[in-house]
Amino acid sequence: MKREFVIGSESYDVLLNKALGEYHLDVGDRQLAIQAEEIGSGEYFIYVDGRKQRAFVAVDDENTYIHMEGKAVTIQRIDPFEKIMGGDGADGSGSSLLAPMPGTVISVNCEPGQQVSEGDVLMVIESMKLETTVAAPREGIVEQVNFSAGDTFDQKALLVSLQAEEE
Amino acid sequence: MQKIKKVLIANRGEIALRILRTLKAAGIPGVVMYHRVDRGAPAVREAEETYLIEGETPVAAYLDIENILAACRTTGANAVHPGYGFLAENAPFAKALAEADVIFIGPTADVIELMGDKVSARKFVEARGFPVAPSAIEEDDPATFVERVAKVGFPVLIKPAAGGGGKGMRVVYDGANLAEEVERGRREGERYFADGRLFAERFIENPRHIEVQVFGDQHGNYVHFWERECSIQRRFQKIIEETPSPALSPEQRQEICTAAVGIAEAVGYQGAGTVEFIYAPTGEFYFLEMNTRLQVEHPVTEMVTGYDLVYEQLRVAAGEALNYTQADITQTGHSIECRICAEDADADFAPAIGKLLKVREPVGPGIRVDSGVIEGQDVTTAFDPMLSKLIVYARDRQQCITRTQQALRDYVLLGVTTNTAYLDKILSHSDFISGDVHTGFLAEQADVLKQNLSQDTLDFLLSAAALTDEQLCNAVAEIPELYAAMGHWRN
Repeated sequence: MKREFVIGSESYDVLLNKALGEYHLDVGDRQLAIQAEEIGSGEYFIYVDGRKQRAFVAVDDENTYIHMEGKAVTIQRIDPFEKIMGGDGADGSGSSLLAPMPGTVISVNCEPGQQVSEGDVLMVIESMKLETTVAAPREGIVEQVNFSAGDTFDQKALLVSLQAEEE
Repeated sequence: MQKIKKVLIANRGEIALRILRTLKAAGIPGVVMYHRVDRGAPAVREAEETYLIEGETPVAAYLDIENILAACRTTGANAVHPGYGFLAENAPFAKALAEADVIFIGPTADVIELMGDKVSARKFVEARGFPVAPSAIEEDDPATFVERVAKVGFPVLIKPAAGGGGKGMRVVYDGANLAEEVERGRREGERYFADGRLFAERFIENPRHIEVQVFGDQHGNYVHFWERECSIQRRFQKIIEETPSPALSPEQRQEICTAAVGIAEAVGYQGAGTVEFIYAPTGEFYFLEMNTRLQVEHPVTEMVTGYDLVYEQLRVAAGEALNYTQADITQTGHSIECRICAEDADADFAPAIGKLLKVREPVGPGIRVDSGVIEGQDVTTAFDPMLSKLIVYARDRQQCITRTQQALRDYVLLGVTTNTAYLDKILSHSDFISGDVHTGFLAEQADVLKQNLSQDTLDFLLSAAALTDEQLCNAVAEIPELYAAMGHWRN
């Protein structure tokens, strides 16, 4: 059974097997003999090839949170099957500028149809009481501008999009 | 303390709980007011009496003076502790309480007004012979402001006259975009403080931020509780504070603390206050501002002096005289505070949200956790991202650093991204260990302070994630063992 685990900007494809009562995890071209022993609520001993680490683990619908070796890491779980069905993969070569966090639009410096160069300021937003500029990641034509000055937006809201590049 | 019958805590989070603890120990009834988003917070749970407030936004509820006056009337509280932030340095609030015959646990409204405004505070301090950095004040002559800013010399720091906490501040390195940057600063000032007046001063490169805890009573007694070093800042906001400062010689320490008490005395300060200084690498120091409240980082001072500063605030507010002199206040050992924030240090400190699925606080010798959150609580962007403070005490700085690191590693907070591993990285940095830091240190060392995972750690993480993934494990278990074994052999 396959899983894609995402840590930060890195993605890891793993394959979990159980053979003769033992779990094995394929990571890249390596295979690890692994085992978990629950020693308390959300507290485990994790064994990898015979070595042991203590871990605190919490799980929600999307992520697994693990505290191990003195730090917490968030791992996003992706079922490869759902990913294909969800069609959330290839979206052409258009560029969508998503809000990194909730905030307010201070000014809109572009309009749909406008030709922009890489680095051009498309919008000025404010999040966490700091002004940030939203700049064009590449040369292109502005497709959509979804907010006006004074509007508030949520995290991951589509602020501005550029038309897909023609090949 | 007979004058104080019951105290309303007009704040939230860790500081509400911290104040409540002192009240309980002193046998003074305390009331915790709260907005409904905070109903599960520890201070609300631990309070014997609570008062629900409302507002257009959660923050607005805590900023509504009428809410607080109504809370005092309803609960019979005759004193208010404002904590820090919110209305702590709001002169009209202090005045409104005085008019309602409620004791404000803090300085008088006049002093808040004088020292709360960077411009008037600076003028006052400069006129009395205390050191200030070269500067330009917009309202002296708005028409020539840009010109005068250029004369202060670059780099120059432009900030809202009414500001605080780093909001709306900008450093300008040359004259090319000066007019534009001034305009931007003005807009930010208007937005955050409804006051666009600006103030500019010479930006001292690689400065340290050193502040002094001062105290005054209503009988003309003034003391200091030594200094705090707060140079470890991200986006102009402190995240690690310590005392004593590793930068000061005993003579310099004496000099800066004496200047701070002098300023407290000059304004007739009552209660707990902090005089902040910019400390140049060359050893000069300049008055930066005075915070007329209890500071977030006050616990490090409590650790090395043994005083409960909230208790001392209550005594002063009740009209009692300080029952100790400067000579009684000794600084013993070393203390470090880390601000635990819900944010992703590797993603430009973007605030993090979510439910705290697991919380396990560190314990051990010299460890104190002032926390505003408990397991199961939702962390939202409605308030400041600070969740709790880890305060550690040890006999010397080296031991304090390693103890703090271990406590950070033992601090389990799952479900919301926090900065504990980032703080640990900072404490491991050789420049931090040698005490060679400045307020731009974190920005300068950003690359070095990024997290990295070793292959070994990664193997353990992926294994833990796979084995605690119920859906995955169940699906795997369904495969008949014989075929699975064959598949395994085929590898």
